[in-house]
Amino acid sequence: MSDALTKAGPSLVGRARGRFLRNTTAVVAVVFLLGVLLTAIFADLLVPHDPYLVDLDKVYQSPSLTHPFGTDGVGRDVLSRLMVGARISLLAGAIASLTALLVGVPTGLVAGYYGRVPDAVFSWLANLTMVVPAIIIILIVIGSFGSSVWVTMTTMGLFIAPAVYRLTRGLVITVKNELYVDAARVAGLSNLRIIFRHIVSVVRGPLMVQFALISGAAIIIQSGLDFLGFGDPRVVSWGGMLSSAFGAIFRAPGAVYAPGLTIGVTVAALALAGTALADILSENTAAPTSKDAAADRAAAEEQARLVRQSGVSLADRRLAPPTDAGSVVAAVEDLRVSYPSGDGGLTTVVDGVHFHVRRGEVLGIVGESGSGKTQSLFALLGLLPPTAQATATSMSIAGVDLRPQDPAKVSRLRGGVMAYVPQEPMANLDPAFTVGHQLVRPLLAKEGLGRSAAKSRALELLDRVGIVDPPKTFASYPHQISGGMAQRVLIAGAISCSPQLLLADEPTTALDVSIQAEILGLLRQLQREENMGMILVTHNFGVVADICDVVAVMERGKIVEIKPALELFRAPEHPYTRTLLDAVLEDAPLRRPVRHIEGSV
Amino acid sequence: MRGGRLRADPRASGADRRLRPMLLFVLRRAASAVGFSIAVVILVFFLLQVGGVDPARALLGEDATEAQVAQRAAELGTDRPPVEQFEQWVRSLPDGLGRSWATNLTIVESLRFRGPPTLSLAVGSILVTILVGIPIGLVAGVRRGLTDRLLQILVIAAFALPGFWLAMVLVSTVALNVNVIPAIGYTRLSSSPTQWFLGLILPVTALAISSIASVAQQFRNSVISVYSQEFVRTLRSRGLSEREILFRNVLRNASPPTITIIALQSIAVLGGSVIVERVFSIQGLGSMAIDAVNNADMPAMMGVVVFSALVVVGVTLLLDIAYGFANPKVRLQ
Repeated sequence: MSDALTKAGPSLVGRARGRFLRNTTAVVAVVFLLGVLLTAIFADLLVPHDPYLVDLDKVYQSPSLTHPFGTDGVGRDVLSRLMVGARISLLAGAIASLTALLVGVPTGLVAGYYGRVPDAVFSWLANLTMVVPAIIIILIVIGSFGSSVWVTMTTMGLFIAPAVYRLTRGLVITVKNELYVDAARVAGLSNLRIIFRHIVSVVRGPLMVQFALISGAAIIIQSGLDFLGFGDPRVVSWGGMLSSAFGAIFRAPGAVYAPGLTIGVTVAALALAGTALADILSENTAAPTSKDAAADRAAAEEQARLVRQSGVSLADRRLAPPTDAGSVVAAVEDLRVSYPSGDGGLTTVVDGVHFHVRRGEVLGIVGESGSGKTQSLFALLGLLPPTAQATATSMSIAGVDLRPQDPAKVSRLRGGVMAYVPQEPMANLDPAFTVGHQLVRPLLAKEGLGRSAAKSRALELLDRVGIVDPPKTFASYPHQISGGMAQRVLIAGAISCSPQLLLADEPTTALDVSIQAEILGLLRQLQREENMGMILVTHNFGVVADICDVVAVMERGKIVEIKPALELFRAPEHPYTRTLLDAVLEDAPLRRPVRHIEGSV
Repeated sequence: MRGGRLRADPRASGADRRLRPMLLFVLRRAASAVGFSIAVVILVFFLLQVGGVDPARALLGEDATEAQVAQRAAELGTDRPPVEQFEQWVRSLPDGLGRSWATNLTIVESLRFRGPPTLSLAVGSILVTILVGIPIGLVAGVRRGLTDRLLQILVIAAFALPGFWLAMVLVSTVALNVNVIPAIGYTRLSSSPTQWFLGLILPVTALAISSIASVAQQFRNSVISVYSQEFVRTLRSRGLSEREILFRNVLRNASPPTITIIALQSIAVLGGSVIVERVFSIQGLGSMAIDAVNNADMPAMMGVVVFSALVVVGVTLLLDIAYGFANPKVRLQ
């Protein structure tokens, strides 16, 4: 792992450099900051005029060639004073941000890594700083220790340290739980080495941003203190310049602009450089994924070429069109879904899919993840993400043509005519509302029931999906119920407005094995009782064998085989179907349910 | 502890079941806030003792003789050990939080005079922040586009430009050209509500801009992140209207992190007013703190600390209550 890290190092840096140079904002900001830094260091050599030279004949002159930013109240050159003033501001930024990092990072590392006592102690101390504004404490410290920039900015750094502490601690806790740190621990590396090898490499990006932001905030606070008169009057500072400009604001209202905007532009450059560098770092970690996508795409094209060569046409694998159109609740012809890809082209994830479902019929869509089965489902529901582009030569739900893509029309069909059961029950209930509230609202909106009628209907539904104590569950928040119960609640919600078509997206995948069969049984039972059409997306042939009448096998966006379930199991034609079936049968725990159910159907 | 209390009496009435955990939550938060404040006050007191500044010398000035300084130090008790001084200070608290060493007024009398201007500024800024920041964040999060791009520029500008400089610019541009708006000073609400309001416009604007940017940005991020959650898709699949989903589910779920930022901003605004007050020559908490520091006036400094701690505790408690209502998980733990 560490080998891989070091090897990846140079290329990562190279990629970062390339990306950095293409990011104009970042380049401008960094160049400007370097300029300010060099000006501060070499100010004595660079200044066009003596910044301390008083000339009462030149008071408040407007900008000119000799004095590009004009002169101040005693005739001193503003530009020269801004250049010298950069020193104290940069020093203030450096003191505060280094103090914050030196205090916040080690404590955050320790608290995040070891937890318990250090975590409790440091977190308590961190919360103390929330009680009084920083400036009040800085004033108190000035009252006790004097107003040197070292004193005030160290105090400010200590005050901001909790933000760094919380950030570091959070990142460490996230990283700590990742497998590679466990692997390193098993490999016998010492704790300290684990911290430094892995965790620090993750934390440094966000900390760079913090460094920039804290420096910026410190520059502002420091000039504020100078403005209040808590600075060394002999030292030229941007805040001090603002203070004297403000003293004559009625006489020379324009004098506040040069020092104020100097502070503003410097701090903005810090913020922009910091965030741009963070973006570059995070893009680096994301880069391999887009490469994988490109590889996927290439493989898909290769597959398509093979299919064309073998002369197998997709039409051959289609079911005959429905003869009694009246009982069809969902039908799609040539459905395509694509997304804009990074390089300006389109990635097609659903590629010419056809199927239809009658009332009382269950269509299973099987395939590996990424084969486009869920995308087909969302296309029917009209719930694809906004970037998706979906087309079909025909698409209808319960006889309503969906092709004109009228969002309002599809939304009218949702809930009442077609309903959806999601994969991950906990993520699909709104954590802020009670279960009852979430069941009642569609009943009010779609069925036009009154509050009390809707409530008793919701309680009936909870009872119907096998919830033991409906009133208790009705009053519970999602985090108070189990995953299995949450899925029952979602099924209750789906059938609440008596839909004709139920679309279930891997409804048992996220559940405990012991509950999967119960939920599947419940879906089957409700589907029969209500005589609903159902489309069930799954990657599990056990589920298919259990409840599907017809099965469509999807691979890379296409349906490669679609036929009645029994036929498919008896004589799988397409090599991909056979591979999938073999994969299931090699998996010992799944074998028994498949055989058992095959016999019973 | 977690959840146990909730299940203790499942037969309690609906309203009771909802209110009791809320009350417990608020009491717990209040207790911890008071604990934190006491800890901070104690820490600050001893911080004042360890520095090198001699209050008696600072009060009497450079010309005073050693004997005069020693006598004053004995009067004030500053020659005694820190723990004894702390005891002495605590004893003086019932008498209006002690008496200022510089003016001999009680601290409560000073606060009665200096508190309202700062509170007007801080509360006004937070109200403006909420009223302006939330709608901006909402539009930027839901519509993205131009509003969002403008918000990103505002966020950088508000971070980079010092609030007290904005205040100066407002004085030199608005106040010098619009006669109705006073350039400096503070009018008490009791003497003229109109003048009080007009006088607050510029300082509140200067203070609120950075808070508006923070709150709008946080709310925008929260709205976007709530929209990316799966339950929003499920709500849509139930046939609920976009409007209903936005105004009930998205807003409710986006609130808690935004409430936290508003709480942090209310502390920041209180701090920012210390400097902004100076620009507008407002005699508030900031000038009280600055005078106290210049005079090494320990009771007055402690008075400012106690007062700001009380304000912060009050504000965070209010926001905690709002947080608890928005986030059932927090309330029921």
